[in-house]
Formats: sequence, structure tokens, C-alpha cells
Amino acid sequence: MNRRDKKPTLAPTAIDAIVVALSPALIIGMVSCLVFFLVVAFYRGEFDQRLMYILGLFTLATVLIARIAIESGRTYANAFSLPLAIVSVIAMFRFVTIAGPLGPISPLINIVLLGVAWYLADRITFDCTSVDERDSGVQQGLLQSLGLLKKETLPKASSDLAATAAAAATATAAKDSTVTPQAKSPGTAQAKKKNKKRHNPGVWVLYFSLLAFPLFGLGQLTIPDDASRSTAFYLLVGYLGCALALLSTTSFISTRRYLRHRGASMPAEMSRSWLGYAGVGIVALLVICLLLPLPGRSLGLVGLPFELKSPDGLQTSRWGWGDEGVQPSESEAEADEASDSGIVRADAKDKGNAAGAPQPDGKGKPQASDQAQLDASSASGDRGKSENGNSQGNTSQENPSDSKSSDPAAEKKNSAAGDSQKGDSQKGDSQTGDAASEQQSSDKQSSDQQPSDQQSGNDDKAPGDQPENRDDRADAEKADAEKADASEQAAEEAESQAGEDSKQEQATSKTPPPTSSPSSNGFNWLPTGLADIIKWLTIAVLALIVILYAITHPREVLQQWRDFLDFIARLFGRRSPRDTAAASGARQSAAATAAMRPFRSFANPFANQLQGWTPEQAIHQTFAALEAWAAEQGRRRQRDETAAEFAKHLGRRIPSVDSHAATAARMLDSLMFAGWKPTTQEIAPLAKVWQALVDHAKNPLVSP
Amino acid sequence: MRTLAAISLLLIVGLLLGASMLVYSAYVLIAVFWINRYLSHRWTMALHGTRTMSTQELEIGQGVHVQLRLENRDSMQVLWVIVEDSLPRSALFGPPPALTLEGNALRICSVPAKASRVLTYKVNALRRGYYQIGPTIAETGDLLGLHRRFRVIAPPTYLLVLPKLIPLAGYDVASSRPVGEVKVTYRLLEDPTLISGIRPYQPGDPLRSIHWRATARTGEIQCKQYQPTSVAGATLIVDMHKSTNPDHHEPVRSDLAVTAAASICHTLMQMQQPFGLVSNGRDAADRFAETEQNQEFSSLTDAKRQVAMLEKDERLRPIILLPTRGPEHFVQIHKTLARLERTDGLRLEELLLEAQSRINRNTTIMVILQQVDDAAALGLGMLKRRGYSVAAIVNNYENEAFNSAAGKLLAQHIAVYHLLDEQSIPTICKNLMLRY
Repeated sequence: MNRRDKKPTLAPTAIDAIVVALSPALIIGMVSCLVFFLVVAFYRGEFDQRLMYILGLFTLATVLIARIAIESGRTYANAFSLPLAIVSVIAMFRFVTIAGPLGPISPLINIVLLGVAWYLADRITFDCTSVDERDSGVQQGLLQSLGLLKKETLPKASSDLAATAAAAATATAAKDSTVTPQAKSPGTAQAKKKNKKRHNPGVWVLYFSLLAFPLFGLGQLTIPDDASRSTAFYLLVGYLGCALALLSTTSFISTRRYLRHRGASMPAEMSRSWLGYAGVGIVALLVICLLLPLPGRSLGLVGLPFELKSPDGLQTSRWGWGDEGVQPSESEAEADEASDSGIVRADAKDKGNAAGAPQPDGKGKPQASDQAQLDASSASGDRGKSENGNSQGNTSQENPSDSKSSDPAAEKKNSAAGDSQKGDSQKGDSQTGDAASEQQSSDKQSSDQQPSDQQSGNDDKAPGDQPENRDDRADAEKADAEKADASEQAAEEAESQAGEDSKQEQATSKTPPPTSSPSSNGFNWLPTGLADIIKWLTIAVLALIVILYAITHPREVLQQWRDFLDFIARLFGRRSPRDTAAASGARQSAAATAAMRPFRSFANPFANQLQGWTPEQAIHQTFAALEAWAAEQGRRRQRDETAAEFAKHLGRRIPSVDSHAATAARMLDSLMFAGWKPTTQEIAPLAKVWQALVDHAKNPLVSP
Repeated sequence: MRTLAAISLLLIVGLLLGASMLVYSAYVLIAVFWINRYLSHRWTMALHGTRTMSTQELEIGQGVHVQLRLENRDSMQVLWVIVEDSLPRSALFGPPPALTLEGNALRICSVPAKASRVLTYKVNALRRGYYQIGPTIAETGDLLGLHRRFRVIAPPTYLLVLPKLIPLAGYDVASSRPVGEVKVTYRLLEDPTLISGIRPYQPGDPLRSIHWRATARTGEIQCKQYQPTSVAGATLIVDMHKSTNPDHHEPVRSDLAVTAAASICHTLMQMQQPFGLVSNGRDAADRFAETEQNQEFSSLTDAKRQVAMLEKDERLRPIILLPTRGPEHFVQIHKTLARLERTDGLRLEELLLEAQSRINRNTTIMVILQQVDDAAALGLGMLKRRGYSVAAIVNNYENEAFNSAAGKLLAQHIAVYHLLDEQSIPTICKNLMLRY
């Protein structure tokens, strides 16, 4: 009877319907997060919100159309597909165009992208929500069915093979050789092949989850600003959450379906606990992983509920040493401004603040007020206020940065140092992010109306965090002097260059930032040199682990590489080379060969004059060693080959051991089938067998 | 080490690229894989099972209660486990089914820490046979379906359903030779209690055979002439080869042959006559699956394939139980007949050649067979010519096959009896008391 024709004895219940209805929602969430991420990462147009809205509706429609196809058939669903395809393509053509060398084929690429999104949504919907009541499911873990994990029974199977091989070397095996592993499980290969072909619900979700590695990981690098990066990160969290929830619901539905087929039902209490534990576990997992250290973030998202700080009222000692000190108030800063020594003190304070004060929340919120003041000072374009902004927490390098808009030399000088810090500061310092987001929003709304002063202020901030220049006080003073001159020129030329600067800044904001340098990832509190050392030491240690593993496990690495190639081949429906080999029987031979002990692992019973060996054991050991030796010589004993036949064939191939193999086989046969009770003297010829095998192993002869 | 290397590689990539999302994805996915794998492994290893059966031998029509206790020895609750006693699918679904199930041998449950659950069901026997009950497979895994583990938590037990014993109609218990004596032409042994006559002494006659009284009366040495030893009891030869027991007659005809053989043996046992069994069929006990407890599998298909009884047995050694008397011997034969299955090994003529040296000449050879080809008829004829008392019971419908078989057997001077159906078994025994 065809198993698929068998109807389940129990009908689906309300909980099945609820979960089946929940699954499309999770699919929509998952695919939407993916599509939104692509927009955030790659779309540089001005209608990203509208595009997200359109693509969100597109995803919703594709999933629901797939549901219609499941319930009512493809033909009926096509009536909905066609209009959707038309309006979606129109929308894509209107809002998305591809610049660069691919520009001529922009419509084609748009259509392909929509098609891919549609196909993936359709596949995953069919995979997770198509409840075929005639199919009881594979009842196998997703990872096992994908071949991503070695089967747990593999060691057992290999041990069985080894046992079989060892048994075949003995008469016990010869006695029972009629029952071979193949005979024990007839059609095993066919059954496995058949099993592989069966669909295991949830595999597409797993494919999507694995897709998160390259897509989100590498797509992140193209995101220009911190705000978009943060949005993309939340999309990633949502994507993973939906994927895991979908896995849970799919597994739940599949298990309940299997139980219905077997005439059993899942208790309601268990249904609740299944979904409840899965939901709580997924949320907890995502949150815990958020707390783990990530590149570009030195601390977790959650800060300590308390802080250790110095008591109020402390004054900076003029005899004190080092760069640290009490932060001067605004009035004091103005007083310090009047004198050079005050500037030096403020620089010293800023240096310590920038170099040794990582922000507790990792986003630099404590400096939000600084940013506001910075913006204000930048907008006014007043030199004094600009310096005042420096004294309130920004580094002294703002001064040369201020001159960036007007002094190309200074801009070039500072950009060289500022670029290396930009990527890191986007995570650790919200100022950069705020400024960037502000730039982005302003770009979207009125890209050509952006005041140049604000642009300048925003630009000032990023280089201001550069720790390298803070150490050089002379340079700072010099830069202040240059900045004064430059500011005057900038004030005169600000109006004339506003439009041009705005365009330049816009171009800068659109340009993908340099890859986040790991130099400050988690090491912001250290001097750059030491951070670099630690960074490279960490990478070196990690690389050392990888290299050690590759050196000590070359076969495993090779095997994993082959597994990966096989997986890729199977993923695209091709037949992997290994499967082809299995079809030809080579795989079994390889597995059996792998199970065979090497000849050198056999102890020679005659080495110690048979001490600790009975004659029977010595015969078994000798013949097993002969088998192993023959296998190493390329003449493996076949399963249907008796000991005498094996010895005969071996003797033909390697004449030098002909008589020895015959002796060993004859003794084995006599022992097992003739009730022979050998004595030590009678098995003495086996010592010559051992001697011949050892000699041959040392000086291998070329077989004729 | 492999995992450590993989994580190291991933972190290197993440650090070099500053790709926090890549690292976060890796965190989540690796955590998902590891946690789920750990949970599924721990839940699997926490479970232990014990099966209790009310009996392991029963008659056709009887039932056996099976109780399976599932115990969680861990301190962590097992959120879900599907526990299933593996039953032979062919026996349950036939056709025709050999067993019926009351209740369900599968159950899903959660097992709290240090607690147990009980699964009960009942198995009713409809046909004779040897059936594997179990092993118990516990299936559990994570809630996301990434890992499924299948573990044997209780070894299998075997249920033996004995064939029916049908009373013989018209069978005379008081008779000392209930199944008849057959005078054999081959005088291997002579019965000193049955003197058939006297004759003149011939050189070589034993001294004890001299009839002294007749010698004195006649003046010449006369010797007593004994009747040959009469055979009593039977050696049943049951042909179970697939070529002569076609599939379209299964399992009715083979079961009928077994029932007839068991009934005849039972009758002989009650009459304290020797009875033996020779068959080319295979013993179902040879199809044991070597199941290890706590063995783990990665899929249910693999698990069921590994723990099920073997579909095929390559064993060729015939079943030979030499004729003996007594209930113990009958029990042994009864169980052997219950486990007897068709074979593709030795054919009937090959069986006769193989087992002839061990077949007792003092018993009637009763061959139960469905179809007779020339080779089989010739083999039986050779037995007849060698002095064995041979009778054949053709187990077939009233059809051409029976007529053909009867013709070939009669050509070899072998008495033929017809086993039509179960109701004819008492008649068979009665007919055996008659000469063909």
C-alpha cells in the first residue's frame, strides 16, 4: 500500500489551524526583514520608506498567494500572481534604477530580484505551511536530513563494519558470513536514497537562516551610516527571531501530523508548553546574544546600575602629574581660553576623556549635549564658540577640523587620521552616528539646502575623536593658530562655498565608509599602539588555533571541504561525486577499507613465544593480520570469499606469500570446521607466516 | 576542536571586517545548534524503559497485555518524547494480519524529572508465528526540529503464537497402533514376539532362532521365522520451500500444514508413540535482530530498519528433531512448528538427501507438501525403495495440482492423502488408520 495514500486516523484540531495560520505571519516577517535589509544596505535613493512599504506589501502578497496555491491550486493562485507581478514591476521601475555598468540591464535586474524574492517566499511558504495529511513526514532532524551533521549511528555503523571485517578474518565470521550486513538490511542503500528524496519540512527555513551569514554579515559593510546600521541590526534580530519561531512551528506541526498518522494525539498541555518554551527560549537566546561582545562595541548593551567616580569638589593639583584632571567648568574654560596654559589644560583633559573614557552605553549618550552644543557652535561659525565646544568634551582636534571646509591642506591632514577612527567611533560615539543620521535625513529632505556651517560642524566631530593628534600639544597649538586664520577665511567664503560644500558632504555621506577597522573594536580604552598589539595578538591566537587544527586534522579538513562541496551540489539538485561513487559501490569499499585495521596494529603472537596466547588465538590473529596485510597490498578479502579462496587468490597475486597464506587458511579452516585442537608445536609454521609478512612489509615487492 | 576552530575562524573574519552582524548571526546560530543538540542528547540519555508482558507464549485467539514503563532518571524534565514499541508491520497489517492491537503502542508525553510514565496496550494473536515485540524506541529532540534522536530504551521481547491442535475425529485411543503399522519389505530388524513360521535351518541362522520343539518333532533343525519389526510413530517431513508453496496460497496453506503436523504430533504424543520433525523451512528465531540497548539512531527509518527482525535468513541447515516420545519433545516440536517459515534454500529432494541418514527407519515418514515435481517424487520413491515407510499428505485444494501430485506419488507407490482444509485434519488422521 502506498504510504501516502493512507489517511490519518485523527483530524487536525484547532491548535493545528492556529499554528498553520501563525506560520505565514512569521514567513512574512522573515522575508520582510530580509527585503528591508537589502533596501537599507544597498538602496541609495531617496524613497527608501516608500520602497520598503511597497516591498513589504509585495512580500505579504507573495506569501498569501502561496497559501492560496496550497489551498486551491496553482491555477487559481495565478489569477492573483499576474496583477501582483505587473504592479510590482512598475513600482520597482519607478523607484529603483541601477547606476554604473549594470545600468543598461537595470530593468532586468529588478525583475530578477523580484522573482528571487517571490520564489523564496513561495518555497518557504510551501515548506512550512503545506500540511499534507497523507504524508507522515520524514521524522528526522533537519540537520541530519541536510547532512550538516555526521549521523550519530555512523560510529556504530563503522564499528559494525569493523566488527564484520574482523569477524570475517576469523572463522566465526566465516561461519556466520552468510548473514552479511547487506543481508541484514536489504535495500538499505535504496531506502536511504528514497529517504533522502523525501522532503523534510523546515529545510528552507534552515537555508534562510544560513543565508544570514553571508548576506547580513557582508551586506553590513555597505551600510554607510550608523543609524542605518542600527536599523539593519534590528532587522537581523527580527529575521533570526522569525526564522527560529518558524522552525519551532514547523517542527510542531510536523510532529502533530506524524502523531495523527500513528493514531496518537498530542495533549493540549504539551502543545502549550512546546510553543511556550520555544518562544521564551528564542527571545532569551536573541537577547543573550545581544549582550555578548561584538565588533565595534566594547561593552554590552546593558550598563552597570551604579558607577564609581571621584567625589565632588576635587580640584586639579598644579603639582599633579599625568594628563588627568578635573574637568573645568564653562567659566573656567573661558578663563583658560584667555591663556595658553588654559588651552593646554583643556587639551590634556580632552585627551584623557577621549582616550580613557569609553561610553557606558556604548552609544555615547552622555555626549549628546556636547553634540548639541557642537552643532550650535558650528552653526554660528564663531571661533570662540567653537573652542568652547572643544572644552565641553570634544577633542581639541576640532579646531583643525573646523578649518577643513576652508583649508584643503588641513582637511587632508586631518582626514588621514580621522578616517581610521571613523568606523569605530560610529559604534562607540553617538556623535558621529547622530551627525551622520542628521546628514542622511537632511539629505533626504533637502539635500541642496543644507547649511554649510552645519556640515562643517558635523565634519569637525569625527576627526575630533582622533587620539593620535591629541598627544601632540605643539601641533594642537599650531593648528589653533591656523584654525583662527582659516576660520576668518571660512567666514568670508562660507556663503559662496555653501552649495559646493553641501554637495561634497552629501557625496561623502553616501560613500560607503571604509571597513570598520578593528583597531578600536573593543579596545577604545587603550592607547592605539597597545590596542593594535592586542588586536593582532588576538587574531594571531585565533589564527593559530585554526592553523593548528588544519595541521593536526588534515583529513578532517579535507573531509569537511568535500562535505561542503557535496552540500552545495545537493543544494542545487546535483548529484555529488560522492553519491556517484556510492552508486558504483566504491563508497562501500572505501568505508570497509577505512574500517580495516592496519597490519602494523596486529601484535605478533610469536614475538614472545606465544606467551599469553592460546593456539586458537594465534591462528585467528595470524589470519586477521594476513587479511590486513593483503588489504594494504591492494588485495582485500571479499565478503563472499572463503579463507581458502582468499589465500589462493592472494598467492596468485603475490607468489612470495602463497604457501604462507595457504598455511594460515588451512589452519583456520581446520580449527573452525574440523574441530581441530591445535597444539603449540602444530601452529609453529605460522611463525614463518609472520616473518614473511613482516619482511614483505619492510621490503615491499612489486607484485607481478 | 573542530567547533573551536570554526568559531575562531568566524571571529577572525568578524574582527577583520568589523562585521558585527556576521558575528551576531554566528552567535545565534551556533547557540541554537549547540543548545538544541545538548538538550536532545540529554533528554535522550535520560530515558529508560522496561517492558512487561503477561505471557510470551499464547494460543491463537488469545491476547497478551504489554506494559511499558518509561522512566526519566535525569534531574531535567523531558519536554517531549515519542515512545513507541516497535511491532512487526507485516504482522499487523498482513494480509491477513497475524496480530491485532488494542490501544496504541505509540505515545507522546513529557516526563518530569525523576518520574515515569506508563504505556499499556494489548496484542491479540490471530495466526501462529514468532513476533518481535519491541524494542522500544524513544524519539525526542529539540523544539526547533534541528536534532532528532532515536534511542532504544528497552530490548525486544518475542511473542510465540503456537499453532492450533485439532483433535482427531474417529481416532481410537485404545488402539495400540493408532496411526497404523506398515509392514515393511526391508527386513532390517525382526520382532521376536511375532513369529510368522518356521523353516529349515540355514547356515548363518542364529542359535537363538532355532525352534527346539519343532526340531525335536521333525528331527531336523528348524528355525523360527519372525515378522519384520513394525513401524510405529511418525517422522513428519514438512516441505516449506517457496517454489512448492506459492505465494498465492500464503499464509493459509503453510499454516494448515503446520497445524496438521502439530495435531498429528500431539496425537502421537498422547499415544506415547515416537514422533519427529524434519523440515527445510527456516526457524524465525534465526532472524533475530541484534539490537543493543541504548543504541542511538539519527532517523526513525534507520532505527526501525536496524531493530526490526531480519527480512531474510540465509541459513540452510534443515530443522531435524529426531523422533522421541513424551510431552517435552512435543513442546519442542510445537514451538518449532510455530516458528517455521518458508524458505528459498533446500528443496524437498535436497532435504531428503541431506537428512536421510538421520531419519529413523522405525517411524513412518509422513511428508506434508503442496506441490510435487518429478524430483521430489523421485526422492520420495528412493526412500520407499530403501525400505522406509513413506506416506504423503498433499496440502492443496481440489485442483489440478493435487491430481498431478497424487499421480506422481502413486507412481512411486507412495500412499497419498489429501489435506483440503482445517476440517479435514481429523479425517486425515482417520484416513491414516486406513490403508491407501
